Amino acid sequence: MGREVLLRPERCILCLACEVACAREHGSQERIWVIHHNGHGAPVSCRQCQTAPCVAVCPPQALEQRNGSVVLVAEKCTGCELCLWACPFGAMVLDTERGQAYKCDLCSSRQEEGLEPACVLTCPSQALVLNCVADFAARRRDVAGRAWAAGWTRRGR
Amino acid sequence: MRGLVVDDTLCFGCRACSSACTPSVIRLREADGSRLVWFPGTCQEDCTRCQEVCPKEAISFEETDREREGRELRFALRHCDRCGRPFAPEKVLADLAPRVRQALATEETSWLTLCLSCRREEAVSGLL
Repeated sequence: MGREVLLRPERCILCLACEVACAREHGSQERIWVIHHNGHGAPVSCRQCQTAPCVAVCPPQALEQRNGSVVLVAEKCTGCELCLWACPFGAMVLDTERGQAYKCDLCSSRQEEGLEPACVLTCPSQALVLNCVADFAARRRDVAGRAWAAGWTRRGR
Repeated sequence: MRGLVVDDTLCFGCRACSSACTPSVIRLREADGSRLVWFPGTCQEDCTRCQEVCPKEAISFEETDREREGRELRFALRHCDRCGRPFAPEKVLADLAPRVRQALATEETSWLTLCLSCRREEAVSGLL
């Protein structure tokens, strides 16, 4: 399975560094947005759905599942905007000047050079990580288990 | 002359043709909670891009001996259930809903009534 940009929302400090790094990497067209909610917040971006509504509705089949991620083939995109309205997370955007949609591409050109996506590299609190889902989930379980066990010890049982 | 015919029973007001039309003969604008798409009656451009990209196959060309008047199609925009702002044509959302339900094998498609910003906020409020 491919690696994705995954989120540990409790670590987000709302600094917007990911958003700025993404905009810098993609010519002012950021594909990640830090959203505030009740004094907290977290970044939102494409979740690379395994069953993706954007892929299902795209008329020219410009959106494809590839190795666990959702890839937009820009040359095929007609700018019809259907993917924008199908996505549950508001992760697709339309460039009205060029008449084409854009989305998180996991910084594929950086990754080809062996570099991490700009948002992951920039995130100062490591709220964003590049990992495959299975490893990420295992790590999360480990952290949660240790936290629970530490509380158990403190309670003196 | 080449007449451009748009079938208003099929057209649902997406942006494909206006995005494809590089000379901007087909024009799209949004005002007062509606999307307005203007189509010329005759088109002299040597191009069939709009016809090719139309997901509903609503555009066709036919020979005509006179200049025809253009027409503007109006599409009501759905207002976001959360913030009230108009965002997408009702007809587009009505077309998408069953296809999204089928693709995801679920009846839960409540996000279709939210604008992009509110979808992002919903996504975050679910995490925290």
